[in-house]
Amino acid sequence: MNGLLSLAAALLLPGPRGSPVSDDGALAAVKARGVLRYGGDTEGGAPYCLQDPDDPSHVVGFEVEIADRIGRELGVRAEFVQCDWKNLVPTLERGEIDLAWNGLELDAELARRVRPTRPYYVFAETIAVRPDDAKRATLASLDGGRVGTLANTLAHKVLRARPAIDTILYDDDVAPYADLMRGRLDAVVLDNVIANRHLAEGIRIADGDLLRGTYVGAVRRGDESLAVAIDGALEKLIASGELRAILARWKLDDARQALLDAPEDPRARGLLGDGGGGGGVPKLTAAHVLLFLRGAALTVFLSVASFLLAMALGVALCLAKVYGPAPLRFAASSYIEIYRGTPILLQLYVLYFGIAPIIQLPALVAAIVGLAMNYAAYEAEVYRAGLIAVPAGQAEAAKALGFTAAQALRLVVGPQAFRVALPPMANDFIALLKDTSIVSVITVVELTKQYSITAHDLGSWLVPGALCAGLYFAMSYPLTRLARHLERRFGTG
Amino acid sequence: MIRTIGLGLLGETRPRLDDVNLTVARGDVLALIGPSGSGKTTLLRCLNCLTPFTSGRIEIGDVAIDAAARLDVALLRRLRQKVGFIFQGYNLFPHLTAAQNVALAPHHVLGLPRADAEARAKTLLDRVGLAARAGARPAQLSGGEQQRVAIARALAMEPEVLLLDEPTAALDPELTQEVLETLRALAAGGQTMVVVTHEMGFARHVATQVAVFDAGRIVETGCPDDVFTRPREERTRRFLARVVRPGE
Repeated sequence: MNGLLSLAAALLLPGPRGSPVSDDGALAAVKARGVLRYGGDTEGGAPYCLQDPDDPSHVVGFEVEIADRIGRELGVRAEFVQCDWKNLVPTLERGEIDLAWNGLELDAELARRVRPTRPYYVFAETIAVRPDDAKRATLASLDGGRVGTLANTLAHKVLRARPAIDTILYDDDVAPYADLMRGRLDAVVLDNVIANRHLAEGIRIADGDLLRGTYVGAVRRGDESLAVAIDGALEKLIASGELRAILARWKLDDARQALLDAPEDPRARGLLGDGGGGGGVPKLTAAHVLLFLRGAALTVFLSVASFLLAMALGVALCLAKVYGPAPLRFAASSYIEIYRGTPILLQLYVLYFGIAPIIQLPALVAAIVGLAMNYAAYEAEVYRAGLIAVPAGQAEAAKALGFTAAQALRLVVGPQAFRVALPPMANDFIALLKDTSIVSVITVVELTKQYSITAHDLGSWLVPGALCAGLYFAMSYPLTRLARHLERRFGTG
Repeated sequence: MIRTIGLGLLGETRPRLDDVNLTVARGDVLALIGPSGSGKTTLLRCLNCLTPFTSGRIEIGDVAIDAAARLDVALLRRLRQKVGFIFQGYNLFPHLTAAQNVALAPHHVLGLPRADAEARAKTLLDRVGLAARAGARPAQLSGGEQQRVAIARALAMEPEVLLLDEPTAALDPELTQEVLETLRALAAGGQTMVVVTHEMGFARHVATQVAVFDAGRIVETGCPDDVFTRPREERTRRFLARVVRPGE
């Protein structure tokens, strides 16, 4: 009866869940090509997919092994395609891969956007704490604490549903555990695969799963024939025990995997439907806009605070380089060359993570200081150009009038140099406004990060993107006008 | 008032100044004349230590500076407070108004209250005929006006002596006259001045003493009448023959 209904539905509705004999050509295309292209991200990819330590041109991992077996079942070669994990689904949708295959957690949102395959792994969201912490073992016990996780994961959604938890977002899974052990965080909520990887760092995983979910592959909706073939291959691997053998080889097999045998068991399939996203299609709401405005406010605050600091530091560097004795001149030049010659991303990592064993800066402080230290190098050169642009006769006239060197700088040369430096300074400030987006790598959620989170939530990049771009423009355009005004006023002075 | 003793400055190939001995009494106006590159401007700059000299000694009032001694910053500032310097290119501060240009040093260097410094600026601008342009910035002033502001700026420090480096060289004849008028009035008021100039008429009629330069040395000094009408040296005659127009 049930089967009859779904057959009727498949015939009547042009839905994604077509019949097993759907003739969409997707499977045929893969077979004709002889290659199944599957996407994953080897960055922080162990044990899913990673570059083989013995042969970095080669990828290994439990997902790689499963994909190879699926390919064999389909009679094609499985070929790994390196993708950015956060953009796996968009990459799939753009047709660059046939299968997204890298720890995708099945939930209502994913099921809406793609055709998920049968699950190949049952994971659990776990709470990692410091070994001496026995209090935090449930979600409720995390209220009021600082809890780290990765953006746009199931764990992130679980945490977000509890506003009392101060959720700190990371871009990679190494830093949160390091910050946990340093005391910057009270707990880390991530899945057991990731948590297990960090057991060696001394963390303790609290007893009891917060939530269980499954990893599935993602196939484009409409490529039903390919999805059905992959599901069939997986079913065979599960029935033969081969899948669990692969998991065991990667030390991933556990009692939870028994659920893989029963795909209709609600504990294994679809159990994440209510995990966080809720039902229905999320829409861009006023609440989202409010979050964007908050992100924009933080962006403005970051820009202004770090630029003021950069100006002060830049003046000091410039004076040291122009007027200082040789050692000071050398130190200032070195600072400028080093900070201009290395990526700001690296500088932020060093400032936030690198020196954490010595001094632990709060993320916002590290962001402001990091941006300021980088921009100071550029400001110093702008001010130096300003000083050089002031004719030598000005300093001479000041000297002849009996001013001290400091007075001459403050009253005569400095103000003139400042006018020359103003337009490029305004330019730098606009650049800084946009560069603030980089501080999301050290857990500060400013406008661009907010955009990325919202876009993932909504599965829509265009409208939130336009909103985000609009906000940046609204912030930078008045500055552009100001810069032009200053140029007109002082440019040819 | 001013005395230089054996003043010398080594250059790359030949001395830029060579054994310069001069005396200027209070109220004197000394005109330095001679061909370009002969060392007139260099001497003027040495007198204010804008260019350091390598041998000899300078005495201005009670301040003496020896080439051999280590330059003392405090002494240097005392010297410069006694000496006003007028540049060929004016070197006014472009970000300040005429009045602010004049009042800046009295306020910050002499420590005059701001109101007093401003009052002094007003008086001096009036004296050089620019009371109406007090609020103008240098870029809004003509060259002659700028140079007169520069003169007022130097006078605001009440210098015992004014050093003027070709003050009219960048000006057209009409503007030259307005600046020379100002200088004439200053000379008449007893202001001690040393002027590097190519204005032979000014040198002849306003200066009380003329020194002719060539190749870093003083060729001849004397009162203008003697130097211009009865030059003792052949080098002076050759120079004057080229620069003096009939009637000057």
